Amino acid sequence: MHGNSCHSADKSGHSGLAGIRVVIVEDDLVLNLDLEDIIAHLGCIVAGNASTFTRALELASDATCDVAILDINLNGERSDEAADVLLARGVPVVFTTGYNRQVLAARHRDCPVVTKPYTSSSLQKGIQAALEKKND
Amino acid sequence: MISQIEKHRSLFANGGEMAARMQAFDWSKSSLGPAESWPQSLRTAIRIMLTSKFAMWMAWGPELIFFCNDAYLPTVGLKRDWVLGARSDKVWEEIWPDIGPRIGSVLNTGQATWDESLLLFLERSGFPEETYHTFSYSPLDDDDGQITGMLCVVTEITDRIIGERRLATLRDLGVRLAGIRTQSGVLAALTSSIDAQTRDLPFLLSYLADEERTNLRLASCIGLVPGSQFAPETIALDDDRAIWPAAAALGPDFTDNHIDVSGLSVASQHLPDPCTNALVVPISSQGQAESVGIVVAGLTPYRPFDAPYSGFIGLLVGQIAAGLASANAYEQERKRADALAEIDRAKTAFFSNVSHEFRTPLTLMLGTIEDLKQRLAVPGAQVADLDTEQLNLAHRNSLRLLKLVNTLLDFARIEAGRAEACYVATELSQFTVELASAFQPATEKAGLRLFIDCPVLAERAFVDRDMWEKVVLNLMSNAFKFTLEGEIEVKLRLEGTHFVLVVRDTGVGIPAADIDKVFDRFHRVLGTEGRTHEGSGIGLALVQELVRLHGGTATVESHHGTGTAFRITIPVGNAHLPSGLVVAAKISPRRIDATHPFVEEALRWLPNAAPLPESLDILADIPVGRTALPSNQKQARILVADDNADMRSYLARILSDRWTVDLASNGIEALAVARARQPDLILSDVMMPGLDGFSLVRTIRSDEELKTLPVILLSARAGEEARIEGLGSGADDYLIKPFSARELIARIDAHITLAKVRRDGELRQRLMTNELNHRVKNTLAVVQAIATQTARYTQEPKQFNDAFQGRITALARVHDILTKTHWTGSSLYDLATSTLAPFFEQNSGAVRVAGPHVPLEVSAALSLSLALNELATNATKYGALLNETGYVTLDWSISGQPSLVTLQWVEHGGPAVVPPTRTGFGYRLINTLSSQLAGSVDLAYPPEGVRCEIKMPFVAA
Repeated sequence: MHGNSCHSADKSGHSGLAGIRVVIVEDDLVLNLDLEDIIAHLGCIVAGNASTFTRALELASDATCDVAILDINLNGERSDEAADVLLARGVPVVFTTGYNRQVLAARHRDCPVVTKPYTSSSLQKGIQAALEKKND
Repeated sequence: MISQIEKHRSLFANGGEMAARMQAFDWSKSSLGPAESWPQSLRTAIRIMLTSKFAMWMAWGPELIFFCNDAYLPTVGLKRDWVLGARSDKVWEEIWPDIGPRIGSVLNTGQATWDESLLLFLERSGFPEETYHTFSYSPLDDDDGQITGMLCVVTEITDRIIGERRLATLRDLGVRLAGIRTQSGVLAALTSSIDAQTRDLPFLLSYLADEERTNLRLASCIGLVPGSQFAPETIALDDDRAIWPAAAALGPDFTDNHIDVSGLSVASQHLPDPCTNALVVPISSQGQAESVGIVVAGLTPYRPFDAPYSGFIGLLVGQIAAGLASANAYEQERKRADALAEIDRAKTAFFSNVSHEFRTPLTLMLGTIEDLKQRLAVPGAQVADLDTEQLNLAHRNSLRLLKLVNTLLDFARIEAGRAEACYVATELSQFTVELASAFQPATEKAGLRLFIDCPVLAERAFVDRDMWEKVVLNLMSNAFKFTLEGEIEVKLRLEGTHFVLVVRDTGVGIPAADIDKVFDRFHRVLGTEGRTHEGSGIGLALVQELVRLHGGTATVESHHGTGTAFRITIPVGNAHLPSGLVVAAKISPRRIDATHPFVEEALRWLPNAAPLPESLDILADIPVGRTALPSNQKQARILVADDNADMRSYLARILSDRWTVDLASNGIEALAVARARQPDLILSDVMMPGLDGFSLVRTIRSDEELKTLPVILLSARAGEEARIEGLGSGADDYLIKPFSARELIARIDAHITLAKVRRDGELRQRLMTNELNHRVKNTLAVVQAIATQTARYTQEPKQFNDAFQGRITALARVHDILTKTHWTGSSLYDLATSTLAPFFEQNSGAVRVAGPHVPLEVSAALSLSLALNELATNATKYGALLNETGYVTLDWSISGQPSLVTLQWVEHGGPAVVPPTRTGFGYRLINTLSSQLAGSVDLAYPPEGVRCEIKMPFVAA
């Protein structure tokens, strides 16, 4: 497929994130699609994709993954509970939001935040920060 | 048979001068040979030419030998003696470049030429002369039919063309000068007119004399460089060697006005050759004693200076003179009007300032006195009669002063055009009776008879009640003052188109010498016996001004020693009044009683004046009551800034019951206090030394910490403009002295409440800004993702553009819908029709949407909109919307338990569908919908048309 040919992980070696399993939680359809592409482009594997709060909670408890990218606002509902489940399972979390990091719940203040609009490299930094924090 | 000689003779017979010269000419030496040998065709042509009264010339043979008739002789002018038999290109050497090609064309083609009003510079008068001709060249054949010559029939129309041109210039200048009211405007009009037409005036200078008439200054300059040798900026009138004879031109009997400048090489910017002559003409209009300057007109070297030319310049200068005279008269008039207006402004400013000076101390005096009186009136208060009397004296005189100041202010307002009249339909007789009868007690006490004769009138009168009150009371007061015995009569009638009020007394009367000045301001009739010597001479002047504001008149008739009658008329109806100031409301007149200062004052003129009434209407609200207004802002802090210590303590006293009050004696101190202990409101006087009230407000508004602080200014400068100035300065409110304590307190209370509301509003606004920021960033992220995705699936910029624009448009449309619902969601129908609108714009049957009401939440709406856009775009490129017969149906239904919405996108009548070999962004987007909507998506490509079925849970709104 033409589309996927440009997302091949030929540059994954540069990202240092090759093979990392990522859960994506994003309610906007287009952003969700684009996020999948960016993750693939970074050499990561999409371990789960949710665009609703309910699906996010399911993934949070079930998915086998190394890191999760959570949009804070899921069609009016906050993704904090999903983050709690993931963090409890030892899965580091990166939040994405159009707000600044002040909107983070107090208990999630230590989590990295990538503000929208994001780029491939800002997401990469966010994921790396989350993984490093876990390893500390 | 006719002999050759006879033929020769008849050829030139009766032909006038040229025929005679042709007969005498020795043709045998010419290339044409003897006339007897000429071909018949030449003879015929010559015969036609010679016998015509129309100007003609002709050329014949290889050398184009020249002939012409008598009528053509003026055109050759000085050349007349040698042109016959010469070569045509020698005769018309100077215009040969113009006419040579035309003649050549006639000889070669046999086609006649036609020229109308052609400009030719002919050397026929000793100089190249500007001339205009209308002519035709026609071919002449020889006997064999060969074109051998040409005949020119010509009319010279030089005089007509030039005459019309000059007339047009004069007309143009006349039009430009119409309505011009300044000297510079006249000169500009002149420059524009001449610039458009420089053939007659290669240069034109105008010089105007200065006031001392020692110099002429260059006022306008066309065609020469200003300040250059021939256009000096200044010509001294005592300069004998001046380039232009200015002094002589301004003097009497100036005739030597034609100046030969051929030796000077005066080069106009508009001519290839230097000017050889100029005309100097004095600028003077009829009825003017002396010329205001001169015009130097350059004469064209291409025209003779004849009577029409001289007449043209004379008329032009006449127009300039008239224009300047009219501008001068207008400017003088304007200066006079300005000077008068300036005096008026100064007077008004003086009144305003005086009122300021008076009103502040008056407020303090009256406030204090009335406060004291109230305290002394408490039962059991120990107070001597003497003290009460002195207090009353102080009170009375304060009131009198206030009345005077108020009258002065009325005047200042009228003068400044700020009198705020409000004309109301009024039952004038009842109102007048009430006003006049207020004087009943005073007249009774004085032993005067008061007749009030005001029957109910058939019509209501449009009057400003306050003004009418002042008119009647002033007239009554005046009558009472000067009537020691007898009677006063007040009579009101409707006489035709006017209401007429007459106030007649049997008083001392006005001496004949004074009667014309009785309405003049500050005019007082001296030496008359009245009840009092008090008086400012302003009352009757005010009456007249007030009546004028009603479109009426005030007149007086009086006989010294027998009495006076004032007669006021005002027109019926309201057509004569400014429509904006006419009020329809029926307000019942205010009751006037003995408490009015006019009446109180009148009573006091009587011996053994009655004690002053307790409260006075005019100042009823000035005394400071200690009644506590309900206020929940006890804790609020108010900063008072006033340079007058009495005013400060007065304000502190009335405000400290409710608020914590800080005091400052000037603007700088106020600023320091405000910065140290931020107040909730600042109350400041306008006029203070150092930093005044306006500057204080400005400083506060530019101070980050203080800028939202409410500020109320206090001023004694009356009038609306001052009020606006106060608000324009950034102050929140503005009070004019004297103000009532109650009003001040109410306003402070309102502003403190308002400031709190404003602070809350700012907080809300900050929250909203954050939310907006979030929305914008989210949208930007989506746009960015659309751009990235679109770029991934397209190869060419054009393809990218179309796809990207389509997607962004879909996004914009769904944003529009969501904005309408304040981002609470949308109905499926609205969303579908709006998203698909661009696809059935051309053909309304192309997309058919139907289904029951289904509410969508925001994210579902956004996603569906994009998905529908992809489906429709795809249909336009490959599917049913590609041809005109195809169409798409989009239907949905609700069914099942729990309820499911099933959408069906079905394409009909398009080309046979070939399933895509690779999937694009649209395909991915549509398939991802299933997880997003927590439903399912089925996209199929049967040959008869693309089908897409979307199922999603039905969520009631």
